[in-house]
Amino acid sequence: MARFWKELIYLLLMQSFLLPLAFAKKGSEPLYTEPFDLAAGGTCLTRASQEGILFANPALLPLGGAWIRWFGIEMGTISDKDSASQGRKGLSGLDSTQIINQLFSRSLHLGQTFSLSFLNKNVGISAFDRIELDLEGSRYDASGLPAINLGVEAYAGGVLSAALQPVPWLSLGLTGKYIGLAEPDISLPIADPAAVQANIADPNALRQQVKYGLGTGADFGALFFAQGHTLDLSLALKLDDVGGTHLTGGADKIPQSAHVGLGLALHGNTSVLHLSLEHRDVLGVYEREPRFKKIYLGSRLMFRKLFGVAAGLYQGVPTFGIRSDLWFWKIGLTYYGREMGDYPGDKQRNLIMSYTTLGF
Amino acid sequence: MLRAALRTVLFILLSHTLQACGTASKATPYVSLSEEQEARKALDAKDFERAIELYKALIEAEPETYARYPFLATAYAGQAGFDIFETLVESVVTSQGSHLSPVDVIKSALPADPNDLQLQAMASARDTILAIPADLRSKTNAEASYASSAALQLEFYQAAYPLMYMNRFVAKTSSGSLDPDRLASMTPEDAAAILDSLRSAEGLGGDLGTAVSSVLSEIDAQPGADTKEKLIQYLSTHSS
Repeated sequence: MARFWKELIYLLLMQSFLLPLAFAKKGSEPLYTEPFDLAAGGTCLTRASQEGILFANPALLPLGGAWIRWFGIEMGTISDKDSASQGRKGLSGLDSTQIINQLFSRSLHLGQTFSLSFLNKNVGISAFDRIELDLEGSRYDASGLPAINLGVEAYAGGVLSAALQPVPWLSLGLTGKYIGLAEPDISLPIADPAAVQANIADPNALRQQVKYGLGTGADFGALFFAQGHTLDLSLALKLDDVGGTHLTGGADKIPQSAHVGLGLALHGNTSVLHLSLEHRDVLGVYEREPRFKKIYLGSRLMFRKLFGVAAGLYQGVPTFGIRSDLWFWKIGLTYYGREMGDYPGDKQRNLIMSYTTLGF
Repeated sequence: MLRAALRTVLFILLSHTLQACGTASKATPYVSLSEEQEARKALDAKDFERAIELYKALIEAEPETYARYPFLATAYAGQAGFDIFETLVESVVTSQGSHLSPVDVIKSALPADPNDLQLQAMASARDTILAIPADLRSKTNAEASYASSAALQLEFYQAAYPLMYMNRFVAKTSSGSLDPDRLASMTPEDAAAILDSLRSAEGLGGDLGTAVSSVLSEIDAQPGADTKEKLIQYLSTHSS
């Protein structure tokens, strides 16, 4: 019986890595958010970092004003705070009762991000991926019976952006993207071991539940800004997946969505404090996503481009992060939370992301 | 003046940041939960009374939304002191050691001396599932997402009810032996109710049905003039 539980867990985890991708996009969150922007409550429409610009709002490109704004790679790992503080004990070394109790007392959330990008004031190109796994036991999920739930978010692809600034107060940008997407949710009711054993005996039956999608799409962004000596104001408008992004493999189309953001920046010669407020999916195309998940609030403080601190609210959960810029090498830490359920506190994950970048 | 303004803004920002320290969601005061979400939240928090109140209201408003019935049954079972999750954990633990039957596994997860409220709650859990049309509480129904769970819950509750009922008569004295007065308090109606419930559980089949059938056979094999005496004899010899 203990072997049954371990096989089940490893099967669930292996399924998520063997599958390329699948599904339709469930929420209005960007496919990729630069970790420092995540620390600033995930706000990125009026200000974004490095390669995050291409996914957040391509109209931000001209604000850099450099021939080489960024060229490098970024790598990050994500884990829940409990796992990070106790170390990765994993499931090995635990007896079957401990495995079950651990799964049902707290969730397990792991992930990684990667990007390779080049940006200047008019164009940008990036290859990226983001994979996150969420494993939890729920006492009452399977219509009142215990279940083990595995959620996967897997995104990868490439983006190409171009932007221009026709007048000093307006910037326009366009991003073309080729993406693969998968967001399977698998729930196994453990009160019925016979049904679970059947799945273990036939992994293809489980794999059939998941389909992956590949597709091309486009985003459009606009940035209106008033730049003063010490105070800047900006208003960002963005359309994601213009006309809808059609995916192969029977996955649902990613609907066109609209986002709006406000930004305020106080700056001197070398430091800047940026405050942001954003509302994603203002037209409500992601009907199942509750409103509190569409509001983003954040702040960033950069000291002489060497050190940055950020804080905000991401899906209502406090975020905080620090970053040190050592020219070719940057390191950073972001604490944030995600609400995986339908209301605040339902299935909240408290996460920590450590990341490093190499580039200039 | 700019530096003063920056310092002021920074101070305000930091004070708000410090308030935001911690991991609790700040969106909670601004989000209204639906009645269904409130019911589920109460269930997750094991506030079974509140969960029962909310699910009953939801079912009364929409009696043909059968997806809510298994959740109400779970809340009743929780009120009865029966936790299916603990039963499953116990089944894993016992599978590593001694070989206990499904009936013994369920018995170990039941209150040792249930009161009237707990027994009534377990009966309500069973009856709630029985209120679902038979085709919608079937393991073979792939269209209704709750059908398999409802069928499984019925198996558990049909077996748990008579076992819990029997526990009412096997209280121990301070010396550890069975209390004869408690045993003798069993009425013929109690015995009939217990045996009827056991037969209903037997009829559901599966490993649990087989184990219940074995219990019924053992009861029938006991000496005694009627079913009540046989049942008392069975409890005397099988309660440790």
